[in-house]
Order: sequence, then C-alpha cells, then structure tokens
Amino acid sequence: MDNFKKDIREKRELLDTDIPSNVVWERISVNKTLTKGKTISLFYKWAVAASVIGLIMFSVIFLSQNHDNNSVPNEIAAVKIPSEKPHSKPIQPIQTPTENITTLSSSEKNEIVFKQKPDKKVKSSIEKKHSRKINPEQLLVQDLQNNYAQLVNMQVDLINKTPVYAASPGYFQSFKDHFRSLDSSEIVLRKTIKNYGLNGELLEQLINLNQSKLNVLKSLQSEVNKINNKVAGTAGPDSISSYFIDIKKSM
Amino acid sequence: MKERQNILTETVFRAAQGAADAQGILYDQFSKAMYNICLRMAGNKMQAEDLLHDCFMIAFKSLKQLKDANAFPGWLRRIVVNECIKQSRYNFRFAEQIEIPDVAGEIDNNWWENISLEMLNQEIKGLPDGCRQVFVLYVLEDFSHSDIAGKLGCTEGTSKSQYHRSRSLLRERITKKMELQNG
Repeated sequence: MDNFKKDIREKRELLDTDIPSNVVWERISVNKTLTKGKTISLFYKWAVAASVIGLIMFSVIFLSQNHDNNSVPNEIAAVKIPSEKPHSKPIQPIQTPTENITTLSSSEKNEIVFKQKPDKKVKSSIEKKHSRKINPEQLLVQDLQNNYAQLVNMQVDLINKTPVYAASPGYFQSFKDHFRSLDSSEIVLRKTIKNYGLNGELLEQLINLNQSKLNVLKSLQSEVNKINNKVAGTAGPDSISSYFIDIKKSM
Repeated sequence: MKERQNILTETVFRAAQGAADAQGILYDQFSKAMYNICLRMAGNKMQAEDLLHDCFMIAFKSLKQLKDANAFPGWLRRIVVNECIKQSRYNFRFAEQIEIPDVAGEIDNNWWENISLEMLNQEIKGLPDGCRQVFVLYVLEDFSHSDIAGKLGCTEGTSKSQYHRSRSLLRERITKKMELQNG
C-alpha cells in the first residue's frame, strides 16, 4: 500500500463532511408507506386473481353441463325436418336419424327410454313431441319406427287391395308367417331397447328388422303379381274368382 | 461497547420488524457516512441523494435477511458501494486503453501531508468520471485493482492507470489552489 492511500485511509472518516438534506428521509418515509400499501394491494391482486380463476372454472363447468343439455334440441331439430314429410322422401328419415345417432355418446344412447309405442297414432305422437320434453334419442327412434311403420303400412295396404286370381290362400302362408315372426321379433326388440336402452347393435337390428319386413312384403307383392299375370295369360280375370290377402290375419 | 452493540442489535431488530422510529435512528446514525460515499462516487448532490434513498430503501426492505445485527454498518456500506458501482456502470464506460502512469516526482514528495481535508474532499468530488470512482474504491473502500476491474467492467491496467491519473490530477489541482491561496 502506497503512503498516499495509507494516509488518506487513516483520515477517511474526517472526509465525511457533507450531510444529506432532510428531503431524503422524507422520501424514504413516504416510500416505506407506499411499499406497505403495495404489499396489501399485491394481496388483493392475488385474491382477485384467485376469484377470477374460480369464476372461470365455475363458468366452464356450468357451460359444459349446459352444452350437454343444449346439444339435445339441435339433434331434435335435425331429426324433425325429415319426419314432417315422410311420404315425399321416404328414404331420408331413415338415413338422418342413423347419422345423428352415431354422433351421440354411448352414455346418451343408454339414457333412451321408450314411453309410448311408436306404432300407435303417429300424428298424435308427433304433436306430443312438440308439447313436452322427451329424450331426443327416444324421439330419433320413434321417428325411425314411425317412418318404417308408414312404409310397411303402405306396402300392406297395397297387398291388401291387390286381388289374387289364382292359388289358394295357403300358398302365401309362408310369407304371412315370416312377416308375423318379424313383427313379434320387433316387439321383443322394442322391449329390449326400452329396458336396456339403445345402442348401435340394437339400432342396426331394428333397421334390419324393418328392412326385412319390407322385403317380405315386396316378395309377396311380386309373387302375387307373378301369379296374376300367369292367370291373365291363360284366361280372363273376370272368369276366375278372386280373393284378397290379409297379411295381418292368420288363415 | 457491549451496551452500544446491544442498542444497535435492538434497533436493527426493531427496524427489521418495520418500526419507523428504529429505522429513523439507523438513518440518523449512518446516513452521513453513506451519503459521502454516494457523493464521492456520483459526483453531484442530486444523484447522491437519490442513491442514498435507494440504498436505505433496499436496506430496510432486506433487513430481515441480516443474521448478525452487529454487522449492520458493514452490510449497509456494501449495499451503498454496490449501488454506487451499479449506477456508475450506467453512467460511463472506460475507453479500453492502458495509460502508463507518470508517478515520477511523487515518490519523494508527500504533497498531501499539508493540505486541508476539506480541500482534498472537494477535489476528489471534482475528479472526472472513471478515475474518481477508481480512486474512491481503491483508496477509501480498499478494493484491489482486480476487484475494481471486475466491478466496473474494465481491465486491471485501466484501473491502475485511472488511479494514477486521479492522483496526478489531485496533486495538480490542489497545488494550484494552494499557490493561489498563498498568493
């Protein structure tokens, strides 16, 4: 250490001759108070942040629950449109509910419960759908069944009105038995759906069953036409006695 | 001595708890010495007062971290010196050139022995930026040149050259003043 440094360091305290102004302490006092205030405001900031997060979480839960409920009417709306005109576009009502059902979750499908038989009074059931809240999947299945029922009834009416000029009524018994067995299978299937809810497999069975019924009726119709044409080729229909097939009655 | 230490310990403890009167006592006791460090490092009163304010705010805020209350004076001094160094680094940068100190003629001439401390203090504060900080840190705060180089962001050679420059300037200016005073 050089002498200069040594000598100055020895007198270091004597060099401290300046005094700070009172303003410095006043500023420190004021800022200390502000710092305390900042601490409190920081606490409130955290409290507000926690409240906001809680509010957001509550809103998200509430909205997600609401969304589940709100998504149902949208599905209904999608189904209702084709069901209003079942005669003009008979294929659409079958396709639309199927597509919509595939979008539903399995839990929603399991909630489906049948409260009324779809075969009885189609118009009244549609009116009831508008007047009271029904499970949307239940409505989908009802629409599906109603549309199929209308198609089947149309086909049955057509057969019932077609006169048969040849062959005994027992000739068509196999068609009738097949149709009735399909009918009873449908009743069993409906009960199953009512008890255990709708799933993809049951829905497919329901569609196939109705499709089979239509096929049986078409086959019967084509068989009747074939026989009638044969008879018409050999002798006039007026000379031969005719009868009508009642598909729903046993011989 | 023990009684004084007990008083300091008690005051520091209470100040750490946020007692305004204890903080006021600590300020009264140490503000003068700290202010003079700030003033010599900053070079002007306004900046020195700002530094002093900041240093005491930091000290009061982090007083709870001080384990030994008796170490408060040294602890506070370190805060002040570090804040002054930080401020200095914002204010200026050293030109990276090593000047060869011209100390010839000073060896046998102890020119500082007969000067007033007030004049010396005045001239230290009037030194240009860079060499003033080096002078204060090296002579009054007992930093080594390597420490100064690390703190101020310059080379050790620059620190040494700045110190010798400050000495030369002090000698030159004080000698001139004394000549003027003596007529």
